[in-house]
Amino acid sequence: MDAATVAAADPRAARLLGLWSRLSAQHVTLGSGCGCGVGGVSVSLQDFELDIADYLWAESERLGVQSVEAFLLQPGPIAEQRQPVMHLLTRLEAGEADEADADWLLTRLARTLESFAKLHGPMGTAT
Amino acid sequence: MKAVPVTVLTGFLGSGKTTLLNRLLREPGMQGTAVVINEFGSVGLDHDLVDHTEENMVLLANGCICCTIRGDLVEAFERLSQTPAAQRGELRHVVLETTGLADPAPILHTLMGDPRLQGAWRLAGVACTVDACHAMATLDQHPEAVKQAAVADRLLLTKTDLQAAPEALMQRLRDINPLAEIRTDAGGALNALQALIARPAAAFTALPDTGRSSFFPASGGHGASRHDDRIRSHVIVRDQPLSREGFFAWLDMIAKMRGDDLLRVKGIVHLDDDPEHPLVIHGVQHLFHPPETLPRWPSDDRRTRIVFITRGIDAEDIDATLSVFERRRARRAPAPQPD
Repeated sequence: MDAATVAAADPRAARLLGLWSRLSAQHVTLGSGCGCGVGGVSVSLQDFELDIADYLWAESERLGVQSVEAFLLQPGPIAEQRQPVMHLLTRLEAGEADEADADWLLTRLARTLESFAKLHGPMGTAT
Repeated sequence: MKAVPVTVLTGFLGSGKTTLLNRLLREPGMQGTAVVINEFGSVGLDHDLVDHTEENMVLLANGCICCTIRGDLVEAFERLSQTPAAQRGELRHVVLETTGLADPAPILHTLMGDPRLQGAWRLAGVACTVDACHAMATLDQHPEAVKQAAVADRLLLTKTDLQAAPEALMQRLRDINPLAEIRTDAGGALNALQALIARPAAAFTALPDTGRSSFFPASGGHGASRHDDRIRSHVIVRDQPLSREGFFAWLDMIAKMRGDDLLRVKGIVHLDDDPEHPLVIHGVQHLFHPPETLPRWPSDDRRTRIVFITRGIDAEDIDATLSVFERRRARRAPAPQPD
């Protein structure tokens, strides 16, 4: 990739990459009862990356945005990608997508990741 | 053994809970009703004021801390289960009167989730008394009062013989809790409480009529903007059926991340693997009743409708995260790590 492409990368990608890097390591304890005597399991938000990537893929399919779909599947089937959101943001930060596709993806990623961050609370939203 | 229904009677100090309870207990047909009182302070004054002094009376004192309440409450119900009336199978219902200063959520948690109570007792509904004369000031000054109103199935206006409920108060209550039935007529509080005991609150009967958008405030919000109680109600609507696995993963996640701020969640859910049988969910903060599957849809409206009464949570964030999970395709679940 050349320097001109990198320079054109949407700055939202770097911001979201920073946000998700902080957020995705945070743990959420699921299936417990807060002192009600039932033990739970701990997952990190990173464990939901497949859901987020799958959602983006389903949306691109539903709306017929084939170039985005192709970009999402370029590394392989979503279910077989490792940390697909982190990887996607890294690719967007590197300017690998064209402007329209990057805008399509970053608009949805911003809404989704910021919502996860706000729900997660101060640790997720801290800069 | 069938679980004995428990109706929680809450309401701020001086709002008329004990008066209402006394009137209730004087009504015919209340045989088999036990009373549990949770008071603030070492001397149980309300205990002396309630003229229901039979064997089925249990007093909880000093119970305003979550864990204390839980322990005391469990103990109280265990004592109640040992009373002669309970042993004879004559106990038909329990009314639990909370202290006027209490956040009712820990009490509801205990009733809904404590394994020592499950099977023998079940939460049947929450009634909250609201003083028509003083409630506006009380809601301004005491967040506990807002929370009491937010978790109720019935809001019972008291002292309406002295002063009709102001429209501003009615609007504010609707903003705080659009799910609750509000009774303002003289005698209405008693009738509503009796009705709640006779017919426990359905989890979704008060779902508002919804429009086409995927989420929106559940009420007009004029009062809420003037009185920033930070408590908002939102309705999330989905036209398409949801993935069961995805829906529960989302609900679990949101309850664990923001349980403290989910004051009440009620909903009817259309799942793609069982489209003829809607699922009813009902939760208070992080804790949910076991979901109930209905034998059929109650109306032609088969959309998923979930009402959230929240504190400081934006509807957009609830909606956006549900969008991620709702169509979860069959795939491996995240590999959880033990705590």
